[in-house]
Amino acid sequence: MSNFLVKRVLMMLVTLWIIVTLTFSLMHAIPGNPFASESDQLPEQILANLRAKYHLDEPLPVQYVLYLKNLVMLDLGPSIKSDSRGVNDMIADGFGASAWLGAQAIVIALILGITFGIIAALNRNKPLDYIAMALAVLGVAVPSFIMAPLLINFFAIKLTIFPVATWGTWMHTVLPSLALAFGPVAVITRYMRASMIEVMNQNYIRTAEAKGIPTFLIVIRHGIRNAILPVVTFLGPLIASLITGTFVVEKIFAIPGIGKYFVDGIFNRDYPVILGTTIFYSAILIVTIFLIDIAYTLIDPRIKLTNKER
Amino acid sequence: MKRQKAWKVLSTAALLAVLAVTGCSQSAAPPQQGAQGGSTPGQATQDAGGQADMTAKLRLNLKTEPPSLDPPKGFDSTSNEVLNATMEGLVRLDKDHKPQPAMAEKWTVSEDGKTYTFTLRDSKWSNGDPVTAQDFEFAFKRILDPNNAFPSAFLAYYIDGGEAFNKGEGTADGVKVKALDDKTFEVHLNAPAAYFLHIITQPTFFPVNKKVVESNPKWAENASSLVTNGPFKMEDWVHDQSVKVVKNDGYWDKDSVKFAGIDWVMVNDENTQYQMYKTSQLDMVQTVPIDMKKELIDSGEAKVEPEASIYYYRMNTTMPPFTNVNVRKAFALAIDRKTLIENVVQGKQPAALAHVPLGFPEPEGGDFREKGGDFFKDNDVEQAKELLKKGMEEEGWTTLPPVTLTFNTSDTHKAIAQVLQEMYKKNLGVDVKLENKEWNVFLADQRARKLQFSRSTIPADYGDPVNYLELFVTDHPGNRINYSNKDYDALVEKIRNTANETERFKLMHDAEKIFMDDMPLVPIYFGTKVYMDQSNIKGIIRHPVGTIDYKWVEIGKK
Repeated sequence: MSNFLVKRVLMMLVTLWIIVTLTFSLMHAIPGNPFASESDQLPEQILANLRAKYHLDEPLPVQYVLYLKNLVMLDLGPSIKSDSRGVNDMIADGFGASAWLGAQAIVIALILGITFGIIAALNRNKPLDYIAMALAVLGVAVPSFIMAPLLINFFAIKLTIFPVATWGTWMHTVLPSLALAFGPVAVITRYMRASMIEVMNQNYIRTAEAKGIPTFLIVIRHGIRNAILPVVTFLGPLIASLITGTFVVEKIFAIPGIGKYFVDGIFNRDYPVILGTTIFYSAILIVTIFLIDIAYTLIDPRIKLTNKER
Repeated sequence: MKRQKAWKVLSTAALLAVLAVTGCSQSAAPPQQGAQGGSTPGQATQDAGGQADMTAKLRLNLKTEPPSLDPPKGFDSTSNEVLNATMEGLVRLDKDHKPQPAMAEKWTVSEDGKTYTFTLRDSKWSNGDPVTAQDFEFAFKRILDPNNAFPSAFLAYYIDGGEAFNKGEGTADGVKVKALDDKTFEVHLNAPAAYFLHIITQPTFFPVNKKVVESNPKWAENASSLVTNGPFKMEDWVHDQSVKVVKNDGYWDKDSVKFAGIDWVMVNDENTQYQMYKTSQLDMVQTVPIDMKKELIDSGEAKVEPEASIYYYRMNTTMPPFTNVNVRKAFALAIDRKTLIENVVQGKQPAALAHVPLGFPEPEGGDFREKGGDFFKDNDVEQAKELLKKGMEEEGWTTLPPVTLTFNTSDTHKAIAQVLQEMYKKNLGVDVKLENKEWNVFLADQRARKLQFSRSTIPADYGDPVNYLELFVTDHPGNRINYSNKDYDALVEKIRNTANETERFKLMHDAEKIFMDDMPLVPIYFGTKVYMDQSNIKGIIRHPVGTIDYKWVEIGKK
């Protein structure tokens, strides 16, 4: 097992290194530079001074080695656009808000998604199934930039239960969490319904039914555990993307998260921000996938992490 | 230190725990904050006498994190908005957009217009130190230090020795700024520039506390280490979330400041901002949602003020068909700006029929643009058709070489481009191809003079028409269309060396005429600001050129 862990961690580091290298070369391949602005006054000399300050005047291989060196020290470098903070500070300041919202959204999505999925599966081709599936289609089809203003309009303007936007109290987190959860609820509902229908047709379920065990207990004891694997698979990327923030929802609700850096970094050609956010996201994704793999073995003992143990 | 930060990044669990705790404890607060419009200290003291509520705070939206609160570094409107409230230079623009004494009590200008001697008044930094001429000398040389790589350093090239130092050819001692004593500060310019006083109202030229900056290079990064000298001082700055400033009782003109401070939030969504304004959580918004613009202006809820900026299309003078002046003129004349502005742009913008925007006062009063007038008629289709025919004959073209119009990705730019395409088709019978590019790609191509027909919005960098005229001197980085006219170049050079203001303005009108005779642009409209103030807010000053000023605001009781 420890042998497996060492191998797996090494693989994770290699993956990360490949991602860094690819991102680095792709980002320098796109035209433009971080100092472009509408103002035409910037003389060549000032641009040269700026390039020198951020080592952008060095050849790319030198910049690459320099970046890797800093990265090993866990230093993601300065932000070219924002003078006040480095990329480390930006992520440290913003990750809390993003992760908090993401975690709430995941909890909501799991509870609602699994419940709806089971209800739909147990009432296959009946009104409850249709209602749940209609909700699911709606959730996939309606983008968050429509959902978020609708939520604001209804809950913040009309009912005045929650604040319109900004960050501070728990009340501020409710609407953005709902907006974030809406899409995933739909996906989880569909996954859960499909695999639940399959599981409920298995022989062991019939056996349980024949024994006279109530449906509720069958679902809890035998159904969910066997049907949940597809949802768990989906959960890996979902966790990674939700806790690292989303551009649209954070913008609409003015959340001080890190979602905007993924987009603004590229628009601004803020190279350290592009690399830093990519690395951060990749690292979280890789670790989550690893954790999900471990979770598989806990849910289904037939799944083994290594071939040797077979 | 760095490693410590990195650990911070990694310790998600800790952050989450902290958030969980604070989140829960704060949820006990009144939940209906949205309905009550936030809580400001001002609302608690409704019974104070007089009209202005001295204890109220102004609630504003900064939209984004200010890139830097180090004056020469934050060369953008967001940083400048905070800097102009918390700091002050030698002079400050008044409500008529004229420079008035601020840190400088008075000044003299030498006969040749090149030497400015400022006498400073008694004033204090927020840490209690006196503001001295040495602080200004240090600050001005710091702007130009090539090691600092400040983007706004070029504004100080008017100072003798400034450009050389910034280019690494000179030294700090070669920059001709000097503290003659604690209260006297002298600046030598390399050429007379009457608008120098206007330039130094910009945050770039704000003083910095020499001791603080030398002892702590990171002084401008947090509220606790910022030392300022303006009407307000920093109280709190939560990155990406809020900036709070309170009245500075050490400010020399504190009696003119009639409210307690400013709370900025950072909400970067147009609709959310509007909702917060409508629910009285914001006292003023500087922009309105595009789809509601017309409605809000027509109902009087949103107001419009001029801004010195111009929206135009550039015609590359070395790419056919724009090599021919008559074809260029035909393209400028053939569009109906009035219709375009009323239906698409919708901000009550004045149609641009010249190059230099509104907002530059003449030495004898009046506005440069109003005095200069229009150079052609809007929507002059007949004339445009004739010019196009004439131009094609001159070049011997039977069909017009293909024209590609390029804009950067944005709904508004796209809508304008589509309308232009339609108008050229209808009025000139020319098929124009549309092409859009991502902003940075667009800019790189435009700078490389690779675009044939492309859009630009040019705001003023400082308060003088030469700001616009100099962009089209041969090979200026702002001239992205290979425009070159020796007479024009010579005239701009002459303008730069003319001390007499009346004479200089006359030359600038001449230069604009030469330029408009060559017509390398299709001017479209001059910019406006569309904003909304709550009815109890008075005295926010918006300059056509320069940073929004809150110093004289009065917050009435509701």
